[in-house]
Amino acid sequence: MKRPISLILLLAMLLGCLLLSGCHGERVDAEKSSELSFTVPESFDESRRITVTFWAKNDSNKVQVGIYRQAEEDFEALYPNVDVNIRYYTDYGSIYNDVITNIPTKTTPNVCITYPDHIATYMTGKNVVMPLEELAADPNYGLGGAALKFDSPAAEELVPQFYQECRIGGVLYALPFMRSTEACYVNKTYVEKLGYELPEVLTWDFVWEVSEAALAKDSDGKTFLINGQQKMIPFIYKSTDNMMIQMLRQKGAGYTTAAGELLLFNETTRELLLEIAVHARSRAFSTFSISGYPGNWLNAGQCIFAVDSTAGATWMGTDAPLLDIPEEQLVDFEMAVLPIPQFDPEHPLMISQGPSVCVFYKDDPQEVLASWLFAQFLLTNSVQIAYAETEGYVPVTLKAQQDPSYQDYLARAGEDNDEHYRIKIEASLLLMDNTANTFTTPVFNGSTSVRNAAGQLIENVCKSERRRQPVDDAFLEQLRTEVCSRYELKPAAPGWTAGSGASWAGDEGANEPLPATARALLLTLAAVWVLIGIVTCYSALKRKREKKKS
Amino acid sequence: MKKILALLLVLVMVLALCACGEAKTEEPKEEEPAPEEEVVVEETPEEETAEEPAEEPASLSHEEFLAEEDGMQVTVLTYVQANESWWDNKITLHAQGPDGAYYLYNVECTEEDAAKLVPGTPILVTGDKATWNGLVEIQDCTFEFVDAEPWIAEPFDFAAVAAEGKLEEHMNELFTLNEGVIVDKGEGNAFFFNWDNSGEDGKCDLYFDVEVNGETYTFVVRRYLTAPGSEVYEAVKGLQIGDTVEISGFLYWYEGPQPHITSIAVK
Repeated sequence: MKRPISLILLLAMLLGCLLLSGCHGERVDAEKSSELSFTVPESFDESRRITVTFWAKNDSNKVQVGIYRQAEEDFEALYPNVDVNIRYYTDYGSIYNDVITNIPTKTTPNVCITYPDHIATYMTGKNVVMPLEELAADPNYGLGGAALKFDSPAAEELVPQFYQECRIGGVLYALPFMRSTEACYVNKTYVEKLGYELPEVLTWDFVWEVSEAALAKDSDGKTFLINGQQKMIPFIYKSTDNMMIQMLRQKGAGYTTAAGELLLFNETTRELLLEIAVHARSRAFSTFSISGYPGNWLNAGQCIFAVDSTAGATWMGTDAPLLDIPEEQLVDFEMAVLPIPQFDPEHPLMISQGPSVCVFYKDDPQEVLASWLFAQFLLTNSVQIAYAETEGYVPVTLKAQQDPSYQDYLARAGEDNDEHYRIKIEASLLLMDNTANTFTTPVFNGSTSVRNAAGQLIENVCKSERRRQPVDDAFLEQLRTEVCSRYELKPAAPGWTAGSGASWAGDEGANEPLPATARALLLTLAAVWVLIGIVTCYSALKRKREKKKS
Repeated sequence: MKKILALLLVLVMVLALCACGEAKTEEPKEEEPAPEEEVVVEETPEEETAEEPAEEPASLSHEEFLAEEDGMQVTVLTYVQANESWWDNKITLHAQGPDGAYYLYNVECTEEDAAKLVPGTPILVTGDKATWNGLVEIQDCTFEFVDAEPWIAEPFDFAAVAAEGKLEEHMNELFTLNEGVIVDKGEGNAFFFNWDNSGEDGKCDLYFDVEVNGETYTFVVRRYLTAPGSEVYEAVKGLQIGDTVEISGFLYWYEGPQPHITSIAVK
């Protein structure tokens, strides 16, 4: 009898071990394992012609187009056997759509400007996006490699946060190209005219309060006292998806887990929407999709707090190098460039955004290597510094950021209203000073839909209040249902859940709640240990009693 | 007893681990409860409204529409004059009736219905009145076909109205410009790919400047209205500075007049 029981125990233990390892594996399945059989060639074959197609995105900015063209020329001069063909886009959406269309026919470009969210969708196809780990680490052709014909940054010379953002499921799938964040461009003149002192870091409460105060009108009931005009939207937000994401992040509330579990519809979101509704009702707040570009309103003296990308800084201010409104509508004012409003100004948090580049898989390893070389060339100081200076971008390499020429550029803020436009440089400095305070959202197939849904919640709340249809519990429940349906989202629980538990990139899942199964396992293990304890105690007591008896 | 207890404990652990192992198949469960509940929520009001037919929304005149506050929901009876390309169950329409014109941005529409929205088609549109960078429009609309005679707008004379300084009163309306002169858009170009020449052929709108009565106006070939390869798109690519042109289109507005054209001919 002894042996069979021991055998059963042994088998049970082994089974347990197997299941344990299976359980552990489940947490890793978010990492898209690559089935690509690619080995970095020992050398780059410069005896044969290779074409590298690059789909580039610019901000409707011909200077940026010029920089891409210069990069193409410079790269071809270094590698005469490579022809770089650039297709120019002015929005990420079109690149994304075109890549998706070209995946089935295997006619993707070699390199393209992209966002990690988009890469996650591309990766649902087999052998589409190249994992770059091996290429980046190659001693000859990797970052800072010995056989490169250009001065490439070593991996440690990339801004760690920006480099980390290009990992999906722990694997490197892109290189950062440029980074920006959002800034609040403030009409300081009007804030002070209203009797307020502008703080160094804005809070949401401050912005709402000043915005409401700015709505006071003349006795005619039409003219705003603050600007003497009949138009005034004190607070306009360009990207409402960013607005919701950053508010949730600042509150430590749920958005999604790293694995893609939807947490967006939580009690904090609901409370934020109710607050936003109050200010949409009073018309103190509006959005880009409802009212247009915040910068145009700001420059016309019809807005006080305009939140837009730091990469849009050249459109902000009456002295801005780029203007969209007739000169006669411009109103002169003093502008401040501040981080977006915060809930906890002592610990500011803001989103990191901006283009990255990915490399697409091709059967020919030499073609892949040429693509990688070009993608890497975009990290050289000449490209990084030139492109960053076109807008309020920040170079993604420390090498470029610390370059004397870039430091000189930053130091000359305000010398002119073109290359050294003060607002543009201050916008770049805002991100450089706050790089440690940036975050990104988890990336998974479908993360784009969650982002869109986050913005849609704010848009619909604003529209409803503007129609004078109150935002109440019934409305919010219907909104939740509509948004889930529109973006094909499947929340883990119905209604607005109480929990937080977001997993924000950079947190390494610190706040992520354990799955229910894991919680059940831990509870069961705890129960088992308690039982073992009871049995041990019982046996000890029994032995003691038997000893006493004997 | 000890052996039985130990066996029991191990079995409990195995069972617990089994529960953990099942998690793999649990993932698709997400699809089960929540969406079904959502469907129920959505269906209930529909059933209710089916019993009580909704009141026919009152249609505003163009004057009443203009007087309405931004953000308010409005309903207008109007006639399709042109449409921009259909995408993701939405379409954007240039519409006009005898009393005024509308830019209908993001009209919910199936692809099948989009094909029926030919010039002249009468429709009843409901959406939010908005002013987007100066353009008075109706956003996020729904529409229904109306059983009425088709109606096509007569274009107004752009040069004559511009001379009176009254272009804004004709916002969104169909116009014709009998004579204008192409001027330098910048760096010796008759037109730009995109507003600052940062675009690429076939991938962007075309911008060109026309002098009318001594004033210069920027006209646009919007690729969603007249796609690359269309007669208009290709004709603009052939323009030369100094050409005298005849143009028709819609008086779109972006912080000022910025007409979207539908035809152009060099005289």
